[in-house]
Amino acid sequence: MAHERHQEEEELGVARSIDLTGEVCPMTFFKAKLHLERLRIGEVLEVLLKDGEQMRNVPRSVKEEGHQIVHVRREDDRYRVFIRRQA
Amino acid sequence: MVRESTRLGSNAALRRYEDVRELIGSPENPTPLVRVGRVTKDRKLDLYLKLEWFNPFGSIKDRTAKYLLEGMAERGELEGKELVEPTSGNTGLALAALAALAGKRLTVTIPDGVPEEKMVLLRMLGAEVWPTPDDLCPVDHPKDGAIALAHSFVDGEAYGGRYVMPNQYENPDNVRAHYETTGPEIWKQTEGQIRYFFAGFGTCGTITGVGKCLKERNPRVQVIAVEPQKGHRLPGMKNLGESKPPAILDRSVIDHVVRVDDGPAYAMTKRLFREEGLIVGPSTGAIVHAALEFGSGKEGIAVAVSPDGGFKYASFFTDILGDEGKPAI
Repeated sequence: MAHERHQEEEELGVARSIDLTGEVCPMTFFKAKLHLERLRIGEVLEVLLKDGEQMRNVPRSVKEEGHQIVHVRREDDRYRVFIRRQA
Repeated sequence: MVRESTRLGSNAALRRYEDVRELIGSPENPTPLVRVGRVTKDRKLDLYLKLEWFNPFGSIKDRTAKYLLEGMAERGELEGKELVEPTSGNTGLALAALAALAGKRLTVTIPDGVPEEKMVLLRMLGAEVWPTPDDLCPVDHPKDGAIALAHSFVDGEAYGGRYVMPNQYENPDNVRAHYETTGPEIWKQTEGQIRYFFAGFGTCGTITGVGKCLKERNPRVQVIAVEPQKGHRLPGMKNLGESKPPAILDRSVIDHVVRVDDGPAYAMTKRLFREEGLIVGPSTGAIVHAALEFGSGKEGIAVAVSPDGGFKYASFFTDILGDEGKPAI
């Protein structure tokens, strides 16, 4: 996905980047979960989410699954959420 | 010289068909009714099992899928669209076969607990299979993750309205399939003498459609629904406490609900294999167990539905067999 990454995001070393803004629940969380499962432990997934229900549910859900939110950046009405895969 | 066509054409009396779809159960070509005489020994209840696994794709859902797709085609809803459906497997198999015959792609979302055998068959029929955990969203979502996920394909902007859902849980054509075929067949096959009808809660198309049909002909026919326990392992059945009751369910046609736990359901399935020679799926065991329990002390003709056969359930049956059947050394 072509966009500018900030320095600290470059340092995170994003393994995979996905845009979930066109999805509705529960596909939003399901796709985040499926992509996370395809990473190695410790790797970072970058997810683009809409403000509102997506931001209310997805970060909470991935944390419930045991993953770690390492960085969040707002872009107008959307958010880039960086998630580190745990076990 | 032009050679005349030598095609013979369909002839149901000779069991010769031009198209596999003609084999789907209908009053012209009903699925068989077989007496369950050995497990009912010493009882006055005359129990017959309707063997829906004689449908061409293996289950009662062949009827449902045919009616769902025909209804959508008539309404022009299929043109240029892809199909998506949440299904425990049998509806997916039937839809996948019919979709393949119509040159359409099918995506199925499948809940937890569906045997590997079913998923592989779906993929053989050209479907894309999404296994979905029941508690997909751990935060606050309804238990039926597969249903919600299927709706995501239809509603998500990312898919541009490309997907349509036959929606067996809410589409009245599901009920119509059984009201127009399964029900009239049962009435005719019992020569109008049926007194008790047993079917499981699943999408509830069968219990609603057959129930309506039978009660229109004889209001005194008793319609008994069979409900599995919460957290059950009976693919296709639904406990209406933990799953959302389907919109097509009409409770007014139901006289009684009998709850059956997994243990007795599987025990009866084994009895049906061994005592009746009936290779059935575990939901049949649940329904027959309920029929015998409810029918204790009652007499008259009863019909129970056997929604599918046992060939796809090897992994489930392994669990209940333990060491039975292994060399006794």
